[in-house]
Amino acid sequence: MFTRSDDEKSKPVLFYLNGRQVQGQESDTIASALLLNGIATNRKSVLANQPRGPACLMGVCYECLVTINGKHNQQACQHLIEEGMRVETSTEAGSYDQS
Amino acid sequence: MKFDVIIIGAGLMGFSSALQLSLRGQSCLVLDKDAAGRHASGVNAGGLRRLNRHPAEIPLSVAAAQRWQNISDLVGSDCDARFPGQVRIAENDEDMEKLCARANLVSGLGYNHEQIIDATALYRMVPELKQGCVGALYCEGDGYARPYHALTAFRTSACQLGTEYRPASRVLGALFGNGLWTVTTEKGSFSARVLLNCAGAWANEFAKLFGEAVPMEARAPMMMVTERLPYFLEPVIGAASRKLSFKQMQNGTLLIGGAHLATLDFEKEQTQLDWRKLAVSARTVLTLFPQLKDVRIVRAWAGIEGFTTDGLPVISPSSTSENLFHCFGFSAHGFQLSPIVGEVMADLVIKGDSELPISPFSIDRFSPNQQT
Amino acid sequence: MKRAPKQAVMTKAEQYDTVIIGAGPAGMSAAITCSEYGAKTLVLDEQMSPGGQIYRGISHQQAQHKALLGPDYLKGEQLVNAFIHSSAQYQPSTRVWHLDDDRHAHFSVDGGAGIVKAKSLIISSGAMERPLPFKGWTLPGVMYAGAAQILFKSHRLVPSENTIVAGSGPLLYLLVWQYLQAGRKIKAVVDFASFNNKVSSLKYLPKALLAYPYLLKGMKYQREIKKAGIPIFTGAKRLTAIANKQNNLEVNCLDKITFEDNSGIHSLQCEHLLTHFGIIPRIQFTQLLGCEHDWDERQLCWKPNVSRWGETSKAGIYVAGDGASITGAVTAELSGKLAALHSLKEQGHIEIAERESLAMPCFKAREQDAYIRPFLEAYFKPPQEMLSHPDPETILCRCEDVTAQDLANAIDAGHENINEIKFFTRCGMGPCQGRQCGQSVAHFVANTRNEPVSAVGSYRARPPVSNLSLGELATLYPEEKE
Repeated sequence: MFTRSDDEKSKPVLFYLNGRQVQGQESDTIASALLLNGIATNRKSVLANQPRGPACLMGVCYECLVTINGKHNQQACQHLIEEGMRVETSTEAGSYDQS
Repeated sequence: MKFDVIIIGAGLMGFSSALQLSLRGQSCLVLDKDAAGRHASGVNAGGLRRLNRHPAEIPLSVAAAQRWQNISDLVGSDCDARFPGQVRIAENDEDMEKLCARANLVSGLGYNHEQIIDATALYRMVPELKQGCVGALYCEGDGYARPYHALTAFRTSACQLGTEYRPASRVLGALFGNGLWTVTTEKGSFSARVLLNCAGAWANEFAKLFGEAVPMEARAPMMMVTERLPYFLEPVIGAASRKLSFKQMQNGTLLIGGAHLATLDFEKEQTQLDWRKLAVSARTVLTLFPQLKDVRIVRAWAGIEGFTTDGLPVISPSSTSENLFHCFGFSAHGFQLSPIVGEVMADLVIKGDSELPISPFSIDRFSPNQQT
Repeated sequence: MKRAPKQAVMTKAEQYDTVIIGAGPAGMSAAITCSEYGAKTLVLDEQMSPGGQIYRGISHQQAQHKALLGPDYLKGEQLVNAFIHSSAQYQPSTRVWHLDDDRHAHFSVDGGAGIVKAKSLIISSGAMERPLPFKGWTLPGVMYAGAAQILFKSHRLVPSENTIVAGSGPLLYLLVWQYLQAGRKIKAVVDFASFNNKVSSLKYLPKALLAYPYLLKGMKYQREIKKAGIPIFTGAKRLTAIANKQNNLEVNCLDKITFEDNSGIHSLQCEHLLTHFGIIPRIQFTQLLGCEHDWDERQLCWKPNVSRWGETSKAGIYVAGDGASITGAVTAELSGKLAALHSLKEQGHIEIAERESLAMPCFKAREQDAYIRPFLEAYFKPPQEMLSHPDPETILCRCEDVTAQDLANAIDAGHENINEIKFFTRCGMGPCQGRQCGQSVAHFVANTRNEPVSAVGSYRARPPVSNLSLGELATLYPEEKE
């Protein structure tokens, strides 16, 4: 589990993760917010159906794919969280990218 | 080294021919300047389509469709073939008129694989289609397969029957003498009784060598493929008045074609994608399926293919040389025909004739002032 | 610094003197120099704010946090400030997905797409972690050490104490040291730098001693880590990551790792495994353009073939920074400036004499900065065996779930070159477009077929080389009819 290294007060942002309201900070990406909220797995692999989580955090691995406000297959590490945003991981919503 | 048949071109036509010839006891050598399926055969849209063929091709296409239904019996692999049908959509009454005329033409020729369907039937088949379409021309049992897998299956089964395959062996010349073809390549010479020219976009160079060049041009049609999506589209999609061929593959990716052309440097075998046309292609897809706007394009490419002026292939004995046969110029719609074309070529070689009507594909059909 | 004007609808390409891709040290440095001497300059950046990977977060973090990251990080602040205050236009959150010989850059941003044309194109898209597959590396809980560092730099996140850092490279020790500064003591370091590597690096040590600050820094990090009581396993081999066996999805992630060293096989339980086996240049742009590349046997990666100014084999197209060769942030800054100077002279903004006088100190400084490299490369050379002999069950293509065994089967079935293997197995055809598998697949094929990696080559590059949706593409050339 990842935790904040200090208690610096940054503007909180409330958003929805698989229907549940969770909190992050203004500069969090969806990926960092997921990890902060103890979610290590955001999807299942396309053929072997194995759990996957963020690996590179810089946009080159395409493992951190989530659904953002209904848009599928978005890289969680490339999007900042926004107030009221609806994020879904495919382990909850059903295996999205199964062939 | 001596064979019964030498085949120039390790694409689908080459290996389909090799397979059929091997089944009939002929020893074959398949030569290619690159590797098997490097060009059109490996990178095409994989369409198994009878719908909207030129009338001359219909008999071959219908026979080929039967072969695809049981392709595993022939090549030991199902090539991941699927047969969800194909529709050619009429967005308005004008489109519908065109399609009805086509349907009449085809039934007039004695074939019933193309049927007009109304809006209700269309939306039952393609519920995700934009509203307002009036119907379609439908071919049940059309579908798609995976081209490189199909090629691999044809290659493997031909080679299991004794066909020898030599990649990276560009053919430099071929001479006929004393009843034998001697073929010189960059990796040595080979001889055979019979020579087949299945060299795709390069076949005309060979045809020229034998004094029978045809009016054909190498072009590079473009394709795009998207990320995997949940399965939502069954039939293959075309539209009566748009350049579009669009399907969702077995693995959930969308394959978008439409015969828009890239810029081609044929000498260097390099293609430059035309993004203007790809933008048009994207707009076409989104006009019919607006909900796809956020779908990501993972790859775009262009394959090198030979296009004849009349859009029909050359499938015929040579008009100038003995024991030489041509099989090329499929103008971006050869994939589906490949199993049957192999049989035709084997018939031509062994019996001198084919039961299927192939005279429209004769190499000498081009009028003298068309020949280059 | 101006934000680039928002292009609503793309009808024709906006012209620039210089377009720079990437806003790390090389890109920022190039932009500062170009704009200083009057070139109309645009920087297209994939990230949301300048700094690249190494100076991530530097423009929006508090001083207290930045201090935890060490003095090298803080050096970036000056550079970022100079960039922000330059007259170069900056466009963040922009994915460049196509480049051509005429130096058009096609990109997507804000739900649309655009095209710019440049007289000079400087590619400074940097490097990424070397994907080095091992059994279990795709498990949730396993991530790159660089990824963990991003979480720390940009988001002030640290992993639990139940974390192991494994691999080979200076970043391992830097990261563990940074965590210590933040009060987090992790469980263990597992170092894969082999004894043989250490021996073969000795011949480069004399020259490396000239760059003693680097060496002293490395030694300081190691010393403080040992002092904190964190065990360091050295000479490690054969890493595997093992999952929790339960069926519950949230629990089916990393549970423990195994590795071998001289004393035998170790099994360590952990929640997080942070791996690092060096970094490699990101070459999707230069491959797409068809630039010449060389295989670097020491760095074990492809590099675009560039002149000392950074010119590629394509006219007017440069590469600067780690995207040309792994040489670090200081050299990146110098190379960015050199590429800029060369382009400025080509564009007629400066004369050759001025170019030479401005460049000379950069060449000299760069030469000195390079003293440490041969030593580091030899010492931290990735474990070759892991690259060439992965466990058959190891997933080599993460996107498409293609294992080493699948690749071996494809090769057995007669698919001889890397592109045929790609067609047959779909490795390299997923969303990452071969970024994570291209090189490890090449290593595997090379080893299986007994060929050098340089002969095996790479996947044929196909655009778009970054995110482009149908909707974004549809905004281009709206006047073009079917």
